[in-house]
Amino acid sequence: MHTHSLESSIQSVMPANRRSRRLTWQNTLTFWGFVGPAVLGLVMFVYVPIFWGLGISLFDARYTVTPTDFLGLKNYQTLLTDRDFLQSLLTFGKYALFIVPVTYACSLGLAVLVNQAKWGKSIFRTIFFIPFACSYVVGALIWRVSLFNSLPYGFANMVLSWFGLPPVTWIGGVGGFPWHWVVLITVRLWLQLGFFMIIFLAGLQEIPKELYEAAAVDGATSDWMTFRHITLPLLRNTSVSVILLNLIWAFQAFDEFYNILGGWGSTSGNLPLARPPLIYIYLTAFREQNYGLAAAGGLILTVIILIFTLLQGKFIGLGKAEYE
Amino acid sequence: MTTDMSTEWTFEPYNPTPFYKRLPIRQILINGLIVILAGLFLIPFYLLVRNAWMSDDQITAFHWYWLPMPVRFDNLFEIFGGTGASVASERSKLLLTGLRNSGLISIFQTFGQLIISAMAGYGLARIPYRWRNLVLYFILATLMVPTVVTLIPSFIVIVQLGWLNTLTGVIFPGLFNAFTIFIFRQFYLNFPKEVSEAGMVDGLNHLGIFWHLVLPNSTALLISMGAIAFINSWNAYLWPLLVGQDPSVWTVQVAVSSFLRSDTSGVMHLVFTAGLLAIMPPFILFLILQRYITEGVARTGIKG
Amino acid sequence: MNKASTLGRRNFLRMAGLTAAGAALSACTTATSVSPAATQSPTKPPEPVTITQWYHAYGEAGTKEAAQGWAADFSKATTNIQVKMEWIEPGGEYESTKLPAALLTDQGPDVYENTVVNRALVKANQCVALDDLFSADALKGFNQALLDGFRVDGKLYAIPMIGDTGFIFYRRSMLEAAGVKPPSTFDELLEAAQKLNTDKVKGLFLGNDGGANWILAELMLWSSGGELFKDGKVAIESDRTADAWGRIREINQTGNLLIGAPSDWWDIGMLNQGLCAMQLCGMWGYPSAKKELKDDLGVIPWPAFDSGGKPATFLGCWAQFVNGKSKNIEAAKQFAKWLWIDNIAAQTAWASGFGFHVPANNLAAAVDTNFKDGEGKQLIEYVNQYGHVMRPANWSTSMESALSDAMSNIVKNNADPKAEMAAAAKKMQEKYDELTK
Repeated sequence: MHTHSLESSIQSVMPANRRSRRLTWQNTLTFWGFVGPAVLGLVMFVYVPIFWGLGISLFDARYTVTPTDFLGLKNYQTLLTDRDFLQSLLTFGKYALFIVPVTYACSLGLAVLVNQAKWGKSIFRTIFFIPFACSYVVGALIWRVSLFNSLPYGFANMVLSWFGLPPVTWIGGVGGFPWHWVVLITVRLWLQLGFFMIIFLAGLQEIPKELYEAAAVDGATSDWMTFRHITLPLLRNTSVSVILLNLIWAFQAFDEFYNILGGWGSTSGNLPLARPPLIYIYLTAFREQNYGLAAAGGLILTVIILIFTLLQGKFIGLGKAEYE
Repeated sequence: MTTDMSTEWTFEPYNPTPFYKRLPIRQILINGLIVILAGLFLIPFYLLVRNAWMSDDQITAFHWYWLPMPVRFDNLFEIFGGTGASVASERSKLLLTGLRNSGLISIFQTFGQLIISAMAGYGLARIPYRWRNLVLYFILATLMVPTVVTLIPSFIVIVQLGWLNTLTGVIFPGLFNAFTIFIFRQFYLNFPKEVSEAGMVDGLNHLGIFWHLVLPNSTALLISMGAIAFINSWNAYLWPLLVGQDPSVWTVQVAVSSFLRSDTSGVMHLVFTAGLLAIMPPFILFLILQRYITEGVARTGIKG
Repeated sequence: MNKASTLGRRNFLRMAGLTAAGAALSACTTATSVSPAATQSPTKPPEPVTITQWYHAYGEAGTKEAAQGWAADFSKATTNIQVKMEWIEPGGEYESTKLPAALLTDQGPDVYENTVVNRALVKANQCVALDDLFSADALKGFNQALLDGFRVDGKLYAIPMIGDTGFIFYRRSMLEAAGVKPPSTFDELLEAAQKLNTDKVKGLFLGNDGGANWILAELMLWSSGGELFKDGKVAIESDRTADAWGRIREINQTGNLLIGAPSDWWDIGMLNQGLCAMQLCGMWGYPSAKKELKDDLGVIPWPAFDSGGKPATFLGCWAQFVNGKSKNIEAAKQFAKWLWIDNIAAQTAWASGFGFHVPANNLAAAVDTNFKDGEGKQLIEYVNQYGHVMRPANWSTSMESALSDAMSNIVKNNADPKAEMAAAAKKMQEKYDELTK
């Protein structure tokens, strides 16, 4: 796979052009030795699946992954006229409408607060950030069984009882307020706010102090003014990546929906209440055993994600990623 | 914790001037608000820890117990197969297997991803090759592909490879992460040329340079990328759920999830104890390597 | 379906069930020595093969050991066929994900249990026709309604192993204290739930989804006089049934239902623990409830919708299939026949040796003392009178989803029952056409 030192000493006695050609050849080999495994893996688990998915989405692949009946675009047609699939897109839309702005505002708020704290800064940063190390499954466990349990032993209902309020049926109640959204949104906020807070804190570090000092000289006295005119504009790139990342994650939401609403066996629990696209696809593939339809769904979602990304690139101007 | 980091950044306390803003009342308000928020953030952990040391009767009691009285250490013994009746011990076995599998998967994925990404990053940054940039774009293009499109077909690939219900099937796709490759490539672009030239002079080839000079000098990046990879891998749910359906390859997340969705009746305390155990490895890692993780998150802004 | 159970049940079984289990096991050991050898061709020297058999994890203590024992007995008796029994945990995800995923591959089980068959499954070669395993007499012995659920295009694809059904279990003392009699119509059920509901004990438990699922959709359909299919068409649509589905919303709105219980409707533990006064649960919950509540336990079928309807119970079934992709189809068929057709003792043991289920084979029911008299006999009569097959032939899980979605929309999102019913019927018809085309 790699040249060894004997060869490199031979090179020194070779004619120059042959040597350079040989060197090029060696470099090529070495390059692929280093990069090859990664490329091979990505081909196997990204490129091949894309094309395989594209292929299988045109076939009748029920109960099999090696289908023979060609359907053309029928799977796509089925999906785009399926009420439940469209409903899942709508569910995502509603969800994103809440989770993205709330996450944005709260994580930025947390970052600004923590940044200004006089004492205990690192402790608080740790407290806000540590849910990052917790899984969505364990989060769902706490939320579903203990925090937002519908029976009076749920923590939230216990707190309500202090104020003389009756217990709320958080998940699967009828009429009135869709409380399950409170459960679903708070669990995600808890798990991801700290993560975005860290990104914002990093962004805040990069704002030159001089700007604030200059603003103070210019008479910008209130916190709001400096925040509005200095902090926010200079966090633009950070904001864009936070929003985009948040949106993409929200689009692929699965774990907490499945574990908080999901049931068991043939009754699917409260999942029909809020079934985001990825859960729809999962159920199509693994419960209905219709792999063609599921693959088509995946492709439709991808197109939607791409459109989102391009649109926001056009309107907000995707900061060429600060990472570059 | 003690290793020096190449790119160090800290959160210096910074107060945008006017003296009146430094009045204690303002700080008290800010800190007061933070304390309240921090309290809210800790409630879930409180519940997890409380329930993990209680009996089912106490957890579901309509009278609220603030603390487990007495602390029920038996829960732990029950999980590790000591006391406990048959239903509970069957569950316990699955949860234990889950912990073991999660450990194996995370360790393999972490080290595998690090070595594959670091090598690829190094190759893309430092080895002259005509189509190098094309290969880079080929790799980066995969970042544009959301998991949802590859999910089902990747599952099919795993089926065709005969890796369904094997740890290999769970581990393998997680070894390749274009973003980690990209981060390493950026890092090695700025890696001092003198070091590798010194290696060349000593007669080292690229592998030698990479192994003896480059890797030892990228420990900070390796630690921060590795810690994030470990946490993500440990906490992953969907892929292990698809590929590791058989209980013998369940991760702890899948195990906890199975009981959570079906049947916590009579074993609620065990599920919480298992939940507590399930968050310990990433938590300990987090607490020890927080600086690196913070640095990694700030650097990438990307999880997973 | 019959995932389950609590410690209480297990303890009970240790006392009450073991004798039956022991009898069953010894009975089938004697059966081994004859039948496998009979089907063996004498000219060919037997080549040793290993076949795998999958069960979902039954909740009852002793079931796994019994299944293991049968596999070992057969292996010993035939010598050239080794059966490897695999017990798939947890039972609840067996048919929804684990089995289908395994059947996609070439490494799936040779013999497995499942609840449904349709033309697409046959086409995907996940099962083979088993008609040749049944003698005319053997065929007659089985519960015909269950058998019909596994026929596609006139061919039989499975051997029914165990039937399951569900009832409303209630505490007599609570009903008496509240001054209500066991409900015989839906209105009475509504009223009883209302009167039984207190601060500490909820009136009725239909599941943590408040019954907004396909099982309740079917129960309301049947109890209001409807049926799933008629002449190859989905026949669920009627104003009356739409009205019935809407009533599930009504009962949810009263706040008398238990929601957010630590376990779901199939676990009788919720009634045993006193979380509710009445509970919908599978028949498998009976032994445990009987042990806990003794004479305080009452059991009724799901009540008639109104005076014009009839009570209803669902009838589900686990049945033995042979995988079409198996490399040893003949050996697998031989084993399936030996265990579930020739061996009445196994059928009996499966029905009531460990838990309490509907016998899939009438011969088994006939010899089973549990169903001879008393409550056991009563329950079987409910099934015979009011039972409806919940998954008829050419059924698929997508039809369950369509029904569950409709119910969820009606109950939780206040949707119009008629519109939801029409949407569900349309989707079911599409799926049915896809499966049978």
